[in-house]
Amino acid sequence: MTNFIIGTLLLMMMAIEKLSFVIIEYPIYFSVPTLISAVVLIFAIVYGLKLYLKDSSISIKKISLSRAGWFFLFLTIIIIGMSFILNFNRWTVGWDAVALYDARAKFLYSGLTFSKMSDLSNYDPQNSYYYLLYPPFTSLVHYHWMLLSIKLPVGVYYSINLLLLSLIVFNGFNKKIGNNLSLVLAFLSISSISIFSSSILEYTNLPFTIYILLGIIFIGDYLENRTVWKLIYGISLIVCSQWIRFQEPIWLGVAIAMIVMAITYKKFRHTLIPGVVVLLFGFFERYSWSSFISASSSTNTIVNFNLINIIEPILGIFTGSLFSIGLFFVDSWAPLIFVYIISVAVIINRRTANAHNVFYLLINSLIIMIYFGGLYFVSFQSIWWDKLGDSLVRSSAFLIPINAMILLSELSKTKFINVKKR
Amino acid sequence: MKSKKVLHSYIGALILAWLVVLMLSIVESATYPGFVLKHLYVDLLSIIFVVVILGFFIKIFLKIERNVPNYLEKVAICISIILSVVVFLCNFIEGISYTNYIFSRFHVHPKLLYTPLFLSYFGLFLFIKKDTIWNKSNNAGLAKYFKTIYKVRTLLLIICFWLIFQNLTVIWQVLRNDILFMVKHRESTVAEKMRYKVGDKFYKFVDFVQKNTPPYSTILIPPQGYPWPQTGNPSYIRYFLYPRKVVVGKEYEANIDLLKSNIDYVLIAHGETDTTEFGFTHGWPKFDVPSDYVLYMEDDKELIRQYEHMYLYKNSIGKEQWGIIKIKK
Repeated sequence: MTNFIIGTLLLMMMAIEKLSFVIIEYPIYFSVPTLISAVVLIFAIVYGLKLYLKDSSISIKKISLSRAGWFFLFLTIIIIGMSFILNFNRWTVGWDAVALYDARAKFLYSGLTFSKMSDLSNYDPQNSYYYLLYPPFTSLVHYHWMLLSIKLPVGVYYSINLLLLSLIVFNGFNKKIGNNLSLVLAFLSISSISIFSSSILEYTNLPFTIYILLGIIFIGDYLENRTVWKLIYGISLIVCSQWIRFQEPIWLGVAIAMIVMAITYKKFRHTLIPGVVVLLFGFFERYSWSSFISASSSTNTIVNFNLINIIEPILGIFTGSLFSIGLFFVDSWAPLIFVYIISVAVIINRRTANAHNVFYLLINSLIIMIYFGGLYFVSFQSIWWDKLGDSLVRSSAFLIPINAMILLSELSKTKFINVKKR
Repeated sequence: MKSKKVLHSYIGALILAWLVVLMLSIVESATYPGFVLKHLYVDLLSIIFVVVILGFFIKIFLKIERNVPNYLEKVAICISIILSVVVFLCNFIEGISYTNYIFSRFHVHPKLLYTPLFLSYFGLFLFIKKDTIWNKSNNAGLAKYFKTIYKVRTLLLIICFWLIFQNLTVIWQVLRNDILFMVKHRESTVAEKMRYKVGDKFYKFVDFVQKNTPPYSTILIPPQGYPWPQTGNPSYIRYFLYPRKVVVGKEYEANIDLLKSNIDYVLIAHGETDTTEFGFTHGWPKFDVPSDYVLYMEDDKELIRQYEHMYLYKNSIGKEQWGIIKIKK
């Protein structure tokens, strides 16, 4: 139930931000795709809510914990508390927050629209695409925070995100690994430096992480027990995450994973249509922002697709570029990359092709390939590609709870861990 | 016989090449990046690339498994285990101490150790035999260790504890300064907190510019790059100066006709960092500017307004100056 409430709140927030975007840009016609996606999202929320209320198996049960469980609950509360204390006591200072996310909110508050923001970079050819580089969600949240005259620093919103993440992780995985290990998992997730540092920076990473993670959890649950509202919510969350971060096509990885499952295993044929739905809606959501960018400015993009830019990376495989980028990639992601590789090996070793194993194996592998492929591709187009290491680690933070869950699920079978499942 | 001799020579060459690149990568991690290039005039990464490609080719197409000496398999296993433990320990010790601890203490670059680690695993791939991994006929091999599930789970438990410990220590290192600042400056205002975070020099300067330029003026700023990472970054400085417009200049020229354009002011910015890049040097603008007046920002003094008809760059060489130039129209 907790994840349902969180999912509903997240989707409603997304719908509100999309509608505000349309109102801000009115009467600009190229915000129409955003209006359409907002309307579809509202229908998805209403339908998902209806299906959830029909589900008679929902009940609230008492959670029992061991001493270790209480200890990790205490540690988790400390970490969340630290984030709140830090955010209560400071104002926007992260570089990208100052230069982009909070700046855009400031411009909106003074009456400037998104379509006019690119004019600010008229005499800045180095960063001409900057203000439309990232989708508007984070800036709209900051703008509404200003509009509502909330006396607290906007960083508190990110501490709330951290709290939501811990709840999502605990409720999302406690049926698989038990309450105590779920608390260990929640602690490991929010205390990892990639996630914790995102909670004290007003960037896109933490909201992106919770949308993607909850979406993957819902879709994983749907694949196991075919709960339709979870499929609807999962697809909505993953597709809408593009409105927070645009460059990383995680929705593509999820769609391909579902389609590959359907093609490879007969028993998963039912995932084909949902996979295609993710693909189609993902493309439409992508189009809703990219069409706005192209229509409102002659903005450059980080990645340009033309024949030369496609051939170069292919030739680069034979000249050693793949290897050097690979080393940089492993170096940036170390030691987490080894944790991811171990969890992939753990799933393969199980040799059980159930929905859970297959889906998480595919998700892990495909998303790592997407990140590596993206970095490899960008390395041929930008001289600052080697500055992307930290950004990649932050934006892929949703992989941490997923992979830690896989490792902990092995531990849940051992007699040394006192596991009490819900 | 002849083909067997050729095969043995390939295997011998491969073994030698693998050992050489492994040693070179270990040497480079114990000295500095580029050591091999400097002393042997060959890029280590290129050598590794060639050895890896040849290794794949020899392993897959020549099927060398039966002809690889048994002792080599054990050498590869030992080296990979030792390097794995060393890399793990280095990262763990650095995690609980501080960044660069391993280098300062042992003169080893922990990040460069990933290369010999990768090469040791590659050696395992090249030289390990199928029977060592899993011998179906007598149910023996390394795989039997993985079949003993509790040993794998013990390893996972160790990884779990390592992650918990590392997370807590790294978070403490990140938070320590912020927490100390909060404790010492409980009554600080928003401006003081912002000043602490963005840097005193930059904050004072941008506050000075805000107070001494009209809200709808257009300002020429230094080029983007150190020593002007903040004053020269239009997106960053715009946050503080908006609704003023900012236009990026070049180091030795304005890049725009100051007399014909709408530029109202030009910043005088020495540079907020000691570091430089792209060949930039401190002090800007490094060109003359037609001016109504120049307003200098001085520490603990009244603002100095000088009515000069031309801001001359030659008069500011060697001086650390901050201020604004009002363009003469």
